[in-house]
Amino acid sequence: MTEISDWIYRISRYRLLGSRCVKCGEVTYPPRLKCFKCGSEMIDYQLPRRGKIIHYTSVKNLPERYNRFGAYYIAIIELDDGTRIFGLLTDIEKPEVGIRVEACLRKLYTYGEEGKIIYGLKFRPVID
Amino acid sequence: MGIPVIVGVGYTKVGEFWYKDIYQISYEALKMLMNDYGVADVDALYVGNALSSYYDRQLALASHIADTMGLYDISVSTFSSGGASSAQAIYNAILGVISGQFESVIVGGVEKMSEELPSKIVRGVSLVEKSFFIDYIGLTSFSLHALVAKIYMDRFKLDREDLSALPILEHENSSRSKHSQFRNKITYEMIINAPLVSEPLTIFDVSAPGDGAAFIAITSEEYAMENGLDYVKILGMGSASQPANPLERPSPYIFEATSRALDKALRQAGKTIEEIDLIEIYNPTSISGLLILDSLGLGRRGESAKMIRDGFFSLDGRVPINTFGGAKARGDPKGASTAYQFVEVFLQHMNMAGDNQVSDMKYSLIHSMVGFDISSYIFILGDAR
Repeated sequence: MTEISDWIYRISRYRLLGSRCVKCGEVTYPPRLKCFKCGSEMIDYQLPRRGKIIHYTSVKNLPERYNRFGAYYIAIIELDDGTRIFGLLTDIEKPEVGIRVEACLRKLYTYGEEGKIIYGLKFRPVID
Repeated sequence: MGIPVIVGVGYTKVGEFWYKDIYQISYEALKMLMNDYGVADVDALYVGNALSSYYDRQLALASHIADTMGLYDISVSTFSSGGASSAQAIYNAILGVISGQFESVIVGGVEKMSEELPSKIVRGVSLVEKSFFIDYIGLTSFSLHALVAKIYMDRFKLDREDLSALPILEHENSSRSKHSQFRNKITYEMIINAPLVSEPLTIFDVSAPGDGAAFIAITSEEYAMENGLDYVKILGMGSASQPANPLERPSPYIFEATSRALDKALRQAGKTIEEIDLIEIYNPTSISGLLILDSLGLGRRGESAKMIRDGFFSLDGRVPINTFGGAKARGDPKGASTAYQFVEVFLQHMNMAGDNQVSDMKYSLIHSMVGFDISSYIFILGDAR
């Protein structure tokens, strides 16, 4: 992925904007151009920003761009409308299945020392 | 129209070749193929390679390997789709022979991974998954497999020992293999005490980076007979895909692409899964191995781990799998991995598998896949002579 692609995807990523099939109602994130179930058109669909952790794991062998961290957690999150997505967890010592999380904007990575800084959503525990 | 057959193989040991570049590794494998099996005149060279465009910034690798070998009057193509790169190359080489366009093709793959930094390797092998939701948020292939492992183990009430059965079997098979990267036997205790990659997976659940090249020669049956070559027939093949995002699938642990490809291949070969005597699957992790075996339908879903522990898939079992250790133990030089599976099946059919020889085998099955079963390939081989 290039800086340009990261820029193209920014709206859907910052706003958690998915897509919904006009015919069968299937919701997807990331957004799709065409429904993978019935082949119909997709329209923008705003996903809820809160949900709960269904499963989580740690990432210990770190990929390029994310190796400034010691290790981190990623999770399958079920959003409040039932859509399941992958999410990077933050502000959390020890995740647990079932805890409530919400999306928050964070810095993700940069393109070298002088390149663009790429932001995106991570998920943190909800404090009510 | 010719019936495609495999007439020869050439391969290097899988390992870390610090003093050789990708062309020297390819040269060794190709030299063995051309010298030992009398494959001199070919119509095409198809090469699978997953990562040189990312690591070396070298594109169009097949053209440069043909140049290395001095093969100029031929058709060349490069295929790049992670661990299935050489599966795609072989699939298309077979089509070339069936169509009559080619009488004889050299096809396989090469990979040079060891010289890269660990973080670049981890990222590189994860790039077959959709970047938008994997690479972007720091997910890796292995962490994706780990998450689905948790779902699968919950669903079928499996424990850590069930997950360990496959890597233990693969290292057992690898311990007698001359070309494998890891020839040590491992135990359950070693697996659970090893460093975590992504829980529940430890370093013994995932394949390691490796260097290696493997090529096979595919010709028409007439060509093989005219030239007095021994051969194994390719009886059928199939390929299919499914949504890249496991969360969009009816169930993340059902490998639909594999089972669809399997149906097509068996139908073309006129065989049933019960007639298969040996299977080589492409499983970069222990969990993906269980999911592939589930989808091949030899037992009930969720029971593959138990079948491994009962010896069904052992070298002396009903259907041996990954007889030289598979991606985990033989090694996983991505673009060459499926070519190694073909080499190993050829050695088995020709009674050249040494200490790993499976007796009385007639038909074999090779599986390969892109990423987490996004696209899969199945080949049925047999009728060796």
